[in-house]
Amino acid sequence: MADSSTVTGLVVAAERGDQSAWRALVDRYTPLVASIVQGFRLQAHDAEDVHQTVWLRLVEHLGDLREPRALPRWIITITRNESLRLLKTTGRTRPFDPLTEHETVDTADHVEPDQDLLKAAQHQVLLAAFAELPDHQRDLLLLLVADPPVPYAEISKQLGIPLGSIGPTRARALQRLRESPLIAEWRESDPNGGGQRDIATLGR
Amino acid sequence: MTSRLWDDDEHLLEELAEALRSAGPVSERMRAGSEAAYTWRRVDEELALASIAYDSLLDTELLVRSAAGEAHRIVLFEAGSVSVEVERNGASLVGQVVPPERGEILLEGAGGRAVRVPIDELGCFCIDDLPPELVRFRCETPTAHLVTDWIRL
Repeated sequence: MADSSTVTGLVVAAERGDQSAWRALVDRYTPLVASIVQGFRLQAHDAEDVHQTVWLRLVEHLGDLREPRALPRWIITITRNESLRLLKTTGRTRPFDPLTEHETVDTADHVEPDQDLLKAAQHQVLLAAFAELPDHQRDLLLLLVADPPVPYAEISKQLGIPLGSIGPTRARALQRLRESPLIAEWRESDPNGGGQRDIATLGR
Repeated sequence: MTSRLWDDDEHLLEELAEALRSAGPVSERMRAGSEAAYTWRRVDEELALASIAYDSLLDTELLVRSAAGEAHRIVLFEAGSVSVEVERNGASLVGQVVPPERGEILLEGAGGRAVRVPIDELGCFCIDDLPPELVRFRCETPTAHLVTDWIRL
């Protein structure tokens, strides 16, 4: 039996036809996809297309992705490529001015300036690691970072856990996030702990 | 912003919050589209998956040369020794299956549209009215049974 509480388990279950496992995967990884798509500043309609393409592709590739670490890299690579594709599709249909056209070739460089690349990579590694946390830990962290803040009493009620266990669960969730192999590798990739390498290329 | 600060719970939580904010709001349409993708799961079908091997849109050299309005686009899908090349020109599309054999192309749109066209003895096919949505091609010839990656052309 596949363990449907882990990403690997969800991938196996989804491949076997379990629609709720599919929904869980979409739920877990949509923030990662959305964060990358946002970086390309696509029109809403194009952004929706990228999301749909990523998931349509994943349906076809579920069988190849049993190695759990392959999934975040796969998602990041496909999302980037498809965002770029859509960006260029849109670029192709923009009004064309022959006098200035040669200056506007590489639109991708304009939307992801260098100074934002590290920040974007950091967001991606955090979201990829977050996607692998158990549901109860993800649910708690989502409520803890909600804006406006959700009072502990309300969190306790919503999650059905005692008020006194919020602090310890929060600490365990953050520790688990920190110990995620994705984050550990990323932090090790730079001697200053700044994580200069791209998560999509780690371990290669 | 270095990850050294992640040893501290407050910092780590704040950076996670920032990462989640960077995702922005996820629209209902986005979620619905993502979940609906699963309905395209193929069950018990012996079809090869032809992946995108070339896309003129992502060819930077070509873009530099023809930046002045890329009116058409060429995409090559490959599955083993079989390839499907399509060339879009406005809303119409011509394609060729290699090795060439008579057969049939079924164009599927993610929104449910379907167009069926014949493949001639040279492996060529034409589609006049390409839907403006994500599509994929199913290709049936005596030797090739494949489906391509999804793409918006």
